[in-house]
Amino acid sequence: MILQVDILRMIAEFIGTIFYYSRAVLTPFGEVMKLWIDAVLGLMNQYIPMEISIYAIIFVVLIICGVIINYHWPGEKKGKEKKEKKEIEPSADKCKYCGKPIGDSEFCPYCGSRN
Amino acid sequence: MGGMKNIFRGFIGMAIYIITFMLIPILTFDFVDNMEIPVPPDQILNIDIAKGNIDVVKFWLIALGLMISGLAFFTWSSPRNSRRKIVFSMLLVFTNCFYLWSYKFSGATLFGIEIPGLGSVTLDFAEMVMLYLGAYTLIIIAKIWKLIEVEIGKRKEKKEEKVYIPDSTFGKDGGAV
Repeated sequence: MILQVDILRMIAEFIGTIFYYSRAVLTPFGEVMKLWIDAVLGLMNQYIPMEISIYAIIFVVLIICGVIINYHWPGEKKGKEKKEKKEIEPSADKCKYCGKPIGDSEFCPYCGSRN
Repeated sequence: MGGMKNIFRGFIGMAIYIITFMLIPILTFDFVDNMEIPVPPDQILNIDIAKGNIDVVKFWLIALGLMISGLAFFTWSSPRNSRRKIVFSMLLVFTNCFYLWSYKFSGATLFGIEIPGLGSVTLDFAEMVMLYLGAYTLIIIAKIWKLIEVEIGKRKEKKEEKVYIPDSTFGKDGGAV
């Protein structure tokens, strides 16, 4: 028990020290933030009624939008295409005589020689 | 398949935010509000939060908690290094600022403790809120920087793609051009 209290006190002192020294830097930033938050809250109080249903609707809309967007654009297509291209490139056959790509065909479309 | 993975990740993020931003604070406030510490002889130490205005505190916790959870879903489900992930994480930080400030304007940062026979003590945590808001400012700056970084990265990628793809040497039907 005594050990636990000591550890808690140590943690509290450590956090307190961080707060104490960062206060001089962070509090002015906080004051600036306070200005715009107050302004926005003033507008919110004017135009948005204090009803939980409005926030619940926003929550549901965000989830549905997230699901739809991630289903249609998972953000992986480009990477896959690129990888496929890179895989195809080195394996593409070249003509023995002119060195130009011939794909899978037996005859070179440029010089006509058989490979 | 990747889309479903993203959505699953989003739901995990949402659950974490619902627990940490809604459930734990509401339960804590409920617990502290109903807590009665017996002080001998036959008296009770009363802790007064938000000047008895606990319902307003709970309303803002739920309202902004819902918004934060929705945005967290969007942020967590977005693919890495995508613009939408950074934009929504920035919106999440902005909403976090409101959430934090809601503690202040609803009076949740004020704790009054009445000690029978001795008087009362008032604890004001408003200064701590300011400190956190300052920290959030730095996070916003970092996010803006990240957005610029991603934008530059995307443009570079596009340029490389243009250089990388060679003009096809074959026609559409497979014959030589």
